[in-house]
Amino acid sequence: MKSPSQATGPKNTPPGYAAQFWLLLRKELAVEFRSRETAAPMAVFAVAALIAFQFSFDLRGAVLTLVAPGVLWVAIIFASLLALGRSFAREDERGSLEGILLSPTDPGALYLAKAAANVVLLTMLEVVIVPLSALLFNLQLLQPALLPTFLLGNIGIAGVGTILSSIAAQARAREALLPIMLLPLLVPVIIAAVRATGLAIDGRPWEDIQPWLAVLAAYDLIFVVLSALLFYATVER
Amino acid sequence: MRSAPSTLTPANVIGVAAFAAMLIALYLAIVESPDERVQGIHHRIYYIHVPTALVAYLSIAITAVASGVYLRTRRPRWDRLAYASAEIGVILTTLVLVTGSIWGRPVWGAWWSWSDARLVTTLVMWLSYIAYLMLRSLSGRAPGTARTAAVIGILGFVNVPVTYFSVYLWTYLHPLPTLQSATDRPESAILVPFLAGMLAFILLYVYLIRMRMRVEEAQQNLDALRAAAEGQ
Repeated sequence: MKSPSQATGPKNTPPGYAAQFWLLLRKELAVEFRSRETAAPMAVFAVAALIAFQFSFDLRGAVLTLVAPGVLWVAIIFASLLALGRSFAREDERGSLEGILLSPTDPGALYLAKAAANVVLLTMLEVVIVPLSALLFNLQLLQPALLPTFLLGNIGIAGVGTILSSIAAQARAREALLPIMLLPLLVPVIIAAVRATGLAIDGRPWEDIQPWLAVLAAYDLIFVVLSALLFYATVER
Repeated sequence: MRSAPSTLTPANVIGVAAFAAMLIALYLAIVESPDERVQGIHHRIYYIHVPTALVAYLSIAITAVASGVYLRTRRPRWDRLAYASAEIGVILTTLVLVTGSIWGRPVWGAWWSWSDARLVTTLVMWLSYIAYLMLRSLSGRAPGTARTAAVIGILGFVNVPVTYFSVYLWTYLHPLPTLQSATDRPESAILVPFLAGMLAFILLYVYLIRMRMRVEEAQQNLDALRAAAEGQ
């Protein structure tokens, strides 16, 4: 990606992959913290979804511990669609992606920065709704095993969701296409994250939870690496 | 080549062969093969179900590979192959889910089982490639569609083994009334109708894919002509 003019002086060499990633991540977070157009709606939506689930399933007693992990993850995944949808639609509205792509930026670094920003948004969402669910439903949600579960789950959702967001942003009916493409691909994440969360709430030992964390880690690794490699094909102009 | 329309084109030969092979396979499955000891008459649908399933997975694998080759070479031919194969793959997967349910009802006592990794994986694959087809139809003939669809074509296929393993683990670590599928030993009474079914569906696949790719190529040429006419 080096052009002769950039090779003239040390000051003009484009930043490396890690520096590009860091710059783009800071840009993503700066845009979000200044506009606040994603984080707050996500949290409000997730709480509203929890209320809807409460009255759909009558979350009490034995039903609660059975259903709560699924309820929590479905609320998170649905709320994630708000962040993922905005991830590239925002760039599209302002024509700002062209500017990034004209600079000597590696598409892989752009993908990883966008995905990392979405992981941050999902984590912020969970910081709000997980304690809130513990409080509202009287659940034992403060288990150490939940920390890697949520982190790995977030990476899976954001990893696949970010590349799909870029694809959907270029199509008609992008709001409909994103969930249609995302949910089938997230089936392994839903299975593993819900199981791990359920086992952790039940207070089961670490060995029982570990296989599910391994599934999540393997999923994240496969899809993040593959998406970083394929991402260039979705932003070519 | 267009002056004398010959009936003996490769496409017609493959089509007639596919039709003949299908008739032979059906005859062998319905008339020739004996009833199975446990399942009785019900196992006969296997001779349609299993070849359909194998060719369905093959079509989706071809979509993924052709998508990858298209991203590397950017030759429209590979994109047409990926698109056509996904369409046929979705149709065949629909047949797999339907014939599997028809078999499952009398033998398992249920149309569907969430504890069988193969069923759930097939359903997830089916949905993934319906999404692929929707992306293509909703994006119309926008220039980037071939590229973005190729990415979905690859991601959806990579997800197949991951989903299979997750559902398997879910069933394994969370025992439900497992529905054991009959493991027939491939004796010749079973093998011959099965191979005839395989041949029939592979020929059908080749016939359909050639046809679908030609239609797509004609459509692309027409679009190019229209665009050129509008440009003048």
